Amino acid sequence: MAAPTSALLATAVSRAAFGSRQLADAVMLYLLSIVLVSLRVGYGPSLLAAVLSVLCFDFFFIPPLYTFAVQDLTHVVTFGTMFLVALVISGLTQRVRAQADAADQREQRTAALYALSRDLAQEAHSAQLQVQTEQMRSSLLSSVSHDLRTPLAVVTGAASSLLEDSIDASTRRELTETILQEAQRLNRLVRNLLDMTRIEAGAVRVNREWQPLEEVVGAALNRMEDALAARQVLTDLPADLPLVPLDAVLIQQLLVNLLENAVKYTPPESPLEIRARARAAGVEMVVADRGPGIPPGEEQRIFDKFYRIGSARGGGVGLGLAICKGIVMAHGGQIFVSNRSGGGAEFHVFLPVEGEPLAPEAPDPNEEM
Amino acid sequence: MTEVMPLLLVVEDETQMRKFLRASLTSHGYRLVEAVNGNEGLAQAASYNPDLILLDLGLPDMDGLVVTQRLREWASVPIIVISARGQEEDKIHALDSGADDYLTKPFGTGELLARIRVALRHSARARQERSEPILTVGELSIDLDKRSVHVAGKEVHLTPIEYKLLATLLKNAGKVLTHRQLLKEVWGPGYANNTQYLRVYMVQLRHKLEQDATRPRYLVTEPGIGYRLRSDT
Repeated sequence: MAAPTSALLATAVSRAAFGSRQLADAVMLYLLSIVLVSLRVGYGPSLLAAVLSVLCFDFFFIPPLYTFAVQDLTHVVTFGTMFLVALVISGLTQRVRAQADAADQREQRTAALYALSRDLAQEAHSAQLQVQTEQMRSSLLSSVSHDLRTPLAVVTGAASSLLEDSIDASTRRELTETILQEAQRLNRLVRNLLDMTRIEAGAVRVNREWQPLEEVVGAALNRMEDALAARQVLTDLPADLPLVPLDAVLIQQLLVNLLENAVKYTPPESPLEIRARARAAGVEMVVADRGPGIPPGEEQRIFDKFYRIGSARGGGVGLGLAICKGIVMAHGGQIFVSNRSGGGAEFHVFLPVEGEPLAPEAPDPNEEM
Repeated sequence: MTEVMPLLLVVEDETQMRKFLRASLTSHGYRLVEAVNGNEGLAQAASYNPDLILLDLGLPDMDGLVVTQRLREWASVPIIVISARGQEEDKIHALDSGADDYLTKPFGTGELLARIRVALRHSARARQERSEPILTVGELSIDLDKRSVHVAGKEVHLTPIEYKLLATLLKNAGKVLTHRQLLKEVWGPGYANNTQYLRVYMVQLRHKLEQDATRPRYLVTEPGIGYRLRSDT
């Protein structure tokens, strides 16, 4: 249908626009219509359009008008050329169309491949994550299992040895001390595991009261008295430090964890420092040591659960600092670590102070002294 | 005349704990009576009139707190409660209900014996007709008649509140005192909740009496619970 329509349309437009005398312009219009048919419809119809266009051209434009006879034989050449050009153009536009189609198809295929490869990548990624999680979980379990079982193995071995008659007195004493030490290690481990579990479950109640820092520091040092016996511990807490709203039991545990870490990872007689300073919006505490410091790049990861620095000895599952972080966050504070000039690590704990405590002056029941 | 060693009542449901306590206490000469639950403990206390009661707070049949309260209805025998870690509120309630001190599991023999000695000493002192005017702990001494305080021989001036606070702690040397107990004793019953006042005054005392306020030798903080004046036992 398209071919006769285009031919007649071209005829009508040409006649209207150019009259019956402007042959070249008419030819252009016929060719245009053939191109359109070729582009939109197909090769066959465009051929038909070419034939019909020539016929219409002959009928409506070539004298004698309205007949298929040709007066001037040169017009036959015109017809031939017109037809040839129409053919070539049709062929060319067909190829263009075919290429466009092919390109479309390629694009669709590429898009499909791309979507597929993305899905595959996602699946591979999550499969890898699962494997990694499983690996980490099983390595954690084996690590925790090892850390719990080792002291238990020592206790079992030592205690069963003590039941034998062949042990001499000084060895007895040594074995008994070992049992005590390993039990204390186990106690720390269990305490850390329980604390971490509570923090994770959101089951920690923070009982904040206005406290002087020196009290929690003193309490923590008291708890660690035996472990710190061989060391010098310098404290620097200005007398005018403000009271800080904190949970004494939790902050004591925070300091104990930091001190336990220091004991574990620094040379046995190296000094420790506990300092505090008032800051703009709160108070900053620093626990500093003269140990190997933190390997650069690990300053964040060190607060991750179960993370231990390479040379981890002396047991512990790597929860102490994660617990510290949990406690600090529960107070709305921040904790970070940096290396000190001169060697060693500095743990900074910032606790916010908002509002003010009540006036400390209580009325004095007795006037005289 | 041979002195009769004190009789201790152990109220503890864990068999292995009782074994340890039995071994440790009898080897130091104490006489022992045992109960495995609260009801039995109350009955034994009434029958034997012990000199001190060791009471585990985690008993199967009754809350250790209730046992403490019931005991205090008719007896002034010193009570030391045993609890697991992380139960500060239980300890505070027990102490405020009349328990004298506490032990947190796991604890060693040294701590156990020290607490018992302190509790027995205070109980004995309370029964004396005359109380001594001068109390000394380490280098710290207070003269209750003259109302003077000395550290390492040098007199230290304290405000009335500070003096009263120190006197209370020294009279109970070695024993823990809850915030509430100290506030009621020094300021009066209406001030039982003003923990802040107490803390501020403790800071002042520490700075006047201790060589290093951050590592106190005498005025020890028990976080979440109260204070203890550390004695040498």
